[in-house]
This record gives sequence, C-alpha cells and structure tokens, in this order.
Amino acid sequence: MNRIVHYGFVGAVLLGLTAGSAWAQSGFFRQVVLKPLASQADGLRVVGILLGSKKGDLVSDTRLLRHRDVLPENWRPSSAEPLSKGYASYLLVTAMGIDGGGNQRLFGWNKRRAFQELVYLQVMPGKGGPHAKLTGPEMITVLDRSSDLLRKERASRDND
Amino acid sequence: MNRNALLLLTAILLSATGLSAQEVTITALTDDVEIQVAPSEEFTEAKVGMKLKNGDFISTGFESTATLAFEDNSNVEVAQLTQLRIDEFLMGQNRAKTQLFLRVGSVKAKVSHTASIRSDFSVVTPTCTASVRGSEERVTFEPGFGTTVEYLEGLGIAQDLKGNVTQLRAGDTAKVSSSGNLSTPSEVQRSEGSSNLAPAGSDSKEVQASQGFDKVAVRPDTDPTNPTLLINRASLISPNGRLVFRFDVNTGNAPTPEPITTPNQTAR
Repeated sequence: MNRIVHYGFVGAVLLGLTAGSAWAQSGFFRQVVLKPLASQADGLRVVGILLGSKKGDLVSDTRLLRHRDVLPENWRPSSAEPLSKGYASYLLVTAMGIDGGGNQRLFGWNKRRAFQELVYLQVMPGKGGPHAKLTGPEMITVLDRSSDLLRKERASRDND
Repeated sequence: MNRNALLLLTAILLSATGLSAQEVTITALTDDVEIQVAPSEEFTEAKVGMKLKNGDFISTGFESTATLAFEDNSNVEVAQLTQLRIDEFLMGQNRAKTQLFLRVGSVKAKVSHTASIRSDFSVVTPTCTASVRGSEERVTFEPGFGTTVEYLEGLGIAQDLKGNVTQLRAGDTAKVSSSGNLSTPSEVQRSEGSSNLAPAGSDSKEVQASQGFDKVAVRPDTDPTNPTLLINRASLISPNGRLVFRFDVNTGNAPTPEPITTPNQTAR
C-alpha cells in the first residue's frame, strides 16, 4: 500500500488542504451536483481543489496543473467538452502521485490504465469504462474518495 | 390542488396528529458551509447558532463539516461534500418525527430515544431509506457507488426503492447499489470478505473492530529494481489503511544469487 503514493508529494498536498480558508468552494459543488454531465473544466477544478487551490477557473487551473506536470502539454481542456472517466482518472493519478502496477511502470500512465487503477482503488465508478462520461454528482464522489485515499495513506505512513 | 390549499391541508393533518414543525440548530461547523432557507433560492454562509426549518438545505464544501442539533436531543454530523435537506422535523408531546433527504455525501446521526419521547428518524437518499429508533447510524450516498447504511449502535432498517427491507443491528452494514439492488449485512460481509471475529459477548465497538477488513487484494506487480520480474502480491488492509498482511510470490525469471525454495512472505 505504501508504494502507491510518493510520500513527499502527498505531504505537500495535505499541507495545501489544511491551509487557508475554503470559502466559495461550496457554490462550485452546488452547481456541479446539478449537472447531468461534468465538463473537463469541472474536472480540472476538482483536481485543483485536491491540490489545495481554493479558487480558480479554467485558465488558472490549466496553468496550475501544467506547472505540476499533471496536465499533458498537448491536452486542450474545454468547458464545453464532457469529462470522460479516463480523462479524470489520468489527472487524478498523476496529481496524487500514484505509482500503479506493473503495466504502468513499464508503459507509463494513459487514460485506460489510470481508469483501471482508480477502479481497483474504488475511487472511480467502473460502470461504462474509461470512455463513459462522468456526471456532476459522480465527480463529487470521486473527489471525496480521492481525499479519503490520501488521508489513509497519511495515516498508514504515520503508523509506520 | 393549489399551494395554499396544500399548506392548509398539511396544517390540519399536523394538528390532528399533535405534531408541530420545529427548528434545527447549527451547533458547530468548519470552513465552507452554506445554507439555503426555503423558499429562497439563494445560498448564504452558515454560522453557528443559525436555525433551520423544514425545507431548508445545507451544503458543505471540501474539508468542511457541520453539526446539527435537534430539539429531541438527536444530533447529525454532516461530512464534507454533502448536500442535505431537512424534509421534516416535527415534535409533539411524546413523539418526534424527522426525515432528512441526502442528495450526495454522508451524515452520521445519533438519535435520542427516551421513555418520554419516541423518535422516528429516517434518512432518505435517491436509492434508499434508512430508519432508526434510538441508535447511531451513518448513511452515505455516493452517486456511481450507491448508498451505504452503517449502524454503529442500536437497531434500524434499510429499505430500497422496490420495497425490499433489511434489518440492521450494531456493526451491520447494508448497501443499495446505484441500480437499486439491496445487499443485506451478510451479503455485504461476504462480498467484502470480512467476518465477525469478535468473541461472544463483545460490545458493538469490539464487533466493529473485528469486521470491515478490506477484501484481500491480489494484483500483479513488478519489482522496482527489476522491471522484468513479475510478482503476484496479495495484501490485506485494515479500515484505517494499515497493512495487516502481505504475501508476495515471485513468478518471473529473476537472476537471483540463491535459489528460492519458498515463497517470500511478509506478515505483521
């Protein structure tokens, strides 16, 4: 279990989570929960929140995630494009620093392998496969479970 | 039937049952919590001491929580990323009736039940209804995963939308999938590979501690120092994320200085 996350990165993420005021996020979640389909911009915002960025929009989130090597340079996220489970999975596994299994170590992350890893970790609902679109409420669940995973990693590390 | 007539009918019915609508108080909160006071559509920042009534909404953000106190001495802890509506909170001389609607997220309810007041408490999600009388429960609704109902103390029931009902006692967990299929506590235990290892006479916390281990996870992996070596790894993780057991079997053609005669086992 310990191997799946880079400890230093997790520490930085958790430090970011606890710092500063979180006011104004609730409005974002209230809007997302009503969306039948989450957008790529919503996905970037959620990953930004997980990384400790309390406020942001598509431009600032794109800049942040590129700076953190989470978002590949050739990806052009849009607020009009629906968010696939594979797209969101790729952003999350790279943001959380998940090492993954043998295939990932040999071939690196792609959307499909990232999706399979998060389904295995019970963070991402598996129904529909990596090309299925995430709904707004599912997006909130994925963020909740991702933060739980990071918290368990921290607890496990503290126990060791 | 127009809205005024409906309100009048509701008032007549309530007066006939001796129950009247009551308020709920926010007793604690952290960070980003908003409320929507019906019939307004606007959300405002929540503050400790604010009162909520039937039809009001509470929404928590990331890493934010709230605690609600009901006048029948019941308490509800609202977890992060939760949206909850108070559908009904009525009290009479010796009876309290509470119904909460959980749109998304998780709540932990500690329901007071005394000889003088009988509390009828339920949490409704889009796939399930969890009802308790004098106990402690946690209800989580996660779109894509479904509803999980955990009873920490006392007794209660979980019911899916098709009307299937299962009874739960302390330490039991029931699940209703997104497609609406109810899993009883024994089915949940089987599917998660957990078993009750507590000796007879154990209290609920001991029973709970003996249950809930994640199912044994088996996955192929590679040795970081030798990517061509495949390892079959099985591990058992406790609910708090601690590694309980790990079993590694080397199946690749690794150039090892000494022959491997037994599988490499690690246990703690």
